[in-house]
Amino acid sequence: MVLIQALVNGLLIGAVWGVLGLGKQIVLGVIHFVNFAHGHLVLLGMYLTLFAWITTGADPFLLLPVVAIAMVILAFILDRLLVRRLIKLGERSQMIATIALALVIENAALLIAGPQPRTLQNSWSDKAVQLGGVYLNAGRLMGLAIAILAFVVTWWIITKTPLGVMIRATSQNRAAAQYMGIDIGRVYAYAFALSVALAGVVGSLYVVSTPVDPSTAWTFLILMFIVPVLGGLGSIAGTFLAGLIVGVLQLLSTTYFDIQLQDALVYGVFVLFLVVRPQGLFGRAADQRQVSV
Amino acid sequence: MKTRYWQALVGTALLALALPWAAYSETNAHTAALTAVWCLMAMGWNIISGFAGPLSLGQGAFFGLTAFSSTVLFDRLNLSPIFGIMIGVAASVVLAAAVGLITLRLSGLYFALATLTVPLILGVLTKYFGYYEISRPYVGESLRYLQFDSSLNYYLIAAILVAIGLALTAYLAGTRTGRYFVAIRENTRAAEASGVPTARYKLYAFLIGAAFSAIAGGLYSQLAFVFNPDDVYTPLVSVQALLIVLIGGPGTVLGPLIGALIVIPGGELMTQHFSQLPGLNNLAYAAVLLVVALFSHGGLYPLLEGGIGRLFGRRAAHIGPAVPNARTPASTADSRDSDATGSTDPRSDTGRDAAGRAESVTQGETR
Amino acid sequence: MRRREFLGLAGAAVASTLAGSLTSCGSAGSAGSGPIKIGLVVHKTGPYADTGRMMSMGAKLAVDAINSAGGIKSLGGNKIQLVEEDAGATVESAISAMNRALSQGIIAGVGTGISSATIAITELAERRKITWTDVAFADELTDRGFKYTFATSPKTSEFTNLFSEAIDTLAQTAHVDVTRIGIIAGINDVAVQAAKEIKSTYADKYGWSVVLDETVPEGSLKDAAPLVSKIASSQPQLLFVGPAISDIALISKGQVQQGMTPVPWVLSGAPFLSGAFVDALGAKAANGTFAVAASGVYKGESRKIADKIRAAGDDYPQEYHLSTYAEFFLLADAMERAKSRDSTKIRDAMAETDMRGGPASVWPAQRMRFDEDGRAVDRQAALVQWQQTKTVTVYPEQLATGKTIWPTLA
Repeated sequence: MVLIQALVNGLLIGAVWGVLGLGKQIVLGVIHFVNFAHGHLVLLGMYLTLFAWITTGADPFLLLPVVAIAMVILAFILDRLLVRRLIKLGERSQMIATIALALVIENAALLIAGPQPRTLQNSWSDKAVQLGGVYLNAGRLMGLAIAILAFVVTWWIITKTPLGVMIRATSQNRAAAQYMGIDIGRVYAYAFALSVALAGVVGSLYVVSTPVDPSTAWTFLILMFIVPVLGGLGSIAGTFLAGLIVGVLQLLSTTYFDIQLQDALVYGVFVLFLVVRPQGLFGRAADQRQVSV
Repeated sequence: MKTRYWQALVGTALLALALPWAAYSETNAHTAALTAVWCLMAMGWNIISGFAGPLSLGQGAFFGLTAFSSTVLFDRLNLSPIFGIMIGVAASVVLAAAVGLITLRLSGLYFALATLTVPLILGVLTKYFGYYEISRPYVGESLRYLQFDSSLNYYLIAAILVAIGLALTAYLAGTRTGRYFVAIRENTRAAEASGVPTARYKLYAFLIGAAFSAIAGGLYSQLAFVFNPDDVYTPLVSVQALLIVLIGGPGTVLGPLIGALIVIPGGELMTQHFSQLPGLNNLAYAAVLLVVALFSHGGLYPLLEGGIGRLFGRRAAHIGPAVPNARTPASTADSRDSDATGSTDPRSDTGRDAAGRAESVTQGETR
Repeated sequence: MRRREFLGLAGAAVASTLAGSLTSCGSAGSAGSGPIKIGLVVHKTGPYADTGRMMSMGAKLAVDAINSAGGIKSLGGNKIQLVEEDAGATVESAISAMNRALSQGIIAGVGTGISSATIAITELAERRKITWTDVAFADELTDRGFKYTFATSPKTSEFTNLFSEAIDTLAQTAHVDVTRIGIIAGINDVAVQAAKEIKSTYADKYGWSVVLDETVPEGSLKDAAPLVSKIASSQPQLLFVGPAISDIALISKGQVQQGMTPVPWVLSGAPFLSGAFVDALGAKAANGTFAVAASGVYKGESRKIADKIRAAGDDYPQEYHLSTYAEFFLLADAMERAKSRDSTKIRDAMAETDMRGGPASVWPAQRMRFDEDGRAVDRQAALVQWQQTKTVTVYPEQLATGKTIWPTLA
């Protein structure tokens, strides 16, 4: 029973990591944009959800589409001001600029919302569904449903829509895509918007159960890199699966080992995996991208 | 005289010129000392990632390990931090060898992420075994225990080490080892084909880089008084090193110093002038980073060098990354890399061909 | 070409500001007249920014009160000027902040509220002979033989004793037999030491059996289900110490979800007395929880101070506001008696402090004196209880603002 409880709760939190990884996957594995600020975009999503909840008092899950749309608008602004140029300038500039962007988001949050941890009070996080002796947090269960929805929508956009075809074509061979008349700048803008919207979704899901303060963003820094790489660069399904695996691993270590060693265990498994199967769960060897300076 | 030795000389001159400024006030002295320490840290990153190529995000591991050894051995065994630092450096080199042997065969991003986890794992273990918030015992003024009333003394020590580091880097760049590093960075496959034992030389670069970062960590813990695992094993320490070198100019002798001169006193300056509201200083600092990211591709050193060259009516010789392509002087390093090992820059025009070659190269590298 | 020119100009501009600021920031030294500068080095950014916000609020209220009452009379009625610097996120940035404060000619100071940073900056205070006082707990603050460091709080090593005794007393008064306790510690000096000492000494002394023993690094909990299961099966009556607010919120809410009444906490530290805590847990889960602090709101004078803090915008006056407020009065009192800006004289006067009532009423002993090490003599712990959405001081009982409501578990 304890094992089942750990596994199920691992899957619930893992679904959130899956969406976190998906957003990162699109910038890292598809448009090859090194974004150190992805965790901070999640932070922004958390604060936007909180702000929308304070103003309207509506259910946080109803506010989710609003947050996602706000994040998309923000993504287009960021693309115009920054991302577009950075993609041309290369990885060195991307690293410096996205670290700067992270600082901007964190400190803007500090200036506007203050340093206090803020909580979105909702009935979801106090309720649980009992299934054969296993308790499932209602908020997390709802989160799982939304995470799966986000995964399906992302997968559908990337594999089935004309935009997805353009995104994939561009990611495989930019020059050829350009010769075929694809507007590269626009493709990247849409892909980045999708990534930022997913970050917003993670923020909305996370803030339902956890208080947020401006330094919360750093909790995502490592996970956001681990999940897409574990899943295999360029692989949407692999990334979501990797998120679930990381979640289960975290909960298993909390249950059977010392909680203190939880992170060390996850990182250890990650490195081991890298050494044994560097292309990730679903990646192909050809997908490995060289990042260097 | 070779350009790289000029760089080392110019760097040493800068360090000497900063002396009166550092002596002016304790705030300045402390800032100068921190600048020199972070410069040493950045030089370590520059050797592995700037010269030899693989992107290390784990330099914080060596930094933290020596901060740990110098403080804990002093506190528990009353061992002078001088020996603590030596032990830390030795331990860091051993750690780097172990990490390097396992991870250096991974390519690009994978190596970066594998190294990223190393300081984090060390941080968890350090706390697990009960080592946190350990303060360096107070002994007043003592050279033997590296304790001084004024940070100026720390600056002098760190500056001498930086000068030695500059000379070593300049010397290294001229040796066969240094040329192998650059060859590996420029085109690993070609280097391998022409007989460079790339795996071995990448490991050498990693070990040398680790030693530099370890020394920096040891000095840092003298300046910080307290060993706090969260402060030294955070990924932000490695990111700081990366930031400094990227701003200064990776793969150049003088780059880390220029970067450190911008980042550390710059951050302090922002804090002095934008303290009206909490966080404002960091916003101002971020704005400077954005400007640097958007306008100084390839770091400030190549830019400065270009400027000085024009001043003397000639094109300065490059020892670091050459700039053959005038259209995008910044991203040349990236596009060169993409030729070598994969399509780093999705907008490079290398196209299908490079991607095809990348496949064979990466397979060769990782399998 | 254009871009190069632009950069050249930008470079020149940066260079000139740099030069300008260098000449302006070095004017150190304490002048004989003018405002009396007192430093406040607190974390205003980074993970401890909330403590800095509270301490800053307390400091400003104290300085206003001292100045409107006529400043330091023995120093010609000169006013106190607050020199506030941001200690940032790390010890490194705290030391830089201390250096900036020192270079502005402060003659005494307060901060940072966080042990590791305070240990570091008091070393600088000692080297520069600047009287420094703070609420941080670490034994090391006053165990190093420093002459210029004054800690108004109990030591970490005594803290467990103090709050164990307090809990035992309250339980006896309420005729409750506490036999089973659980420990969920965070990783910080106070919590880990407390956990260790409860297991080794106080569990035996007060007849508690430790039925749950876990350590949770602050903020590391992603899901509390496994811990909640462990709590459900071990059935402790109280949970001792605690990691960060977010971890405690997850654990408490996990209990609510499973239909359990949340097991009340005995928390080591003031962060758990902020409005953010009750927001995060909700009134139901927070109810009955105890938090231990170095200072609190009692009957009498401290209530007026608490009212000022509420008027300034924080509904939950607690240790960080209150101690900082009172510490400024301690410094002002020492300067008044020293009749000089001389740093050694201020230090000597500070060492002879004996303040009763007034601002000193925020401390459980209602009195502040320092021993030879610079640690408060009459050190006690204040025990504050969350009762619905209010904080009520319940121990020491003669000063309590309300009765303990002993939490009953369903």
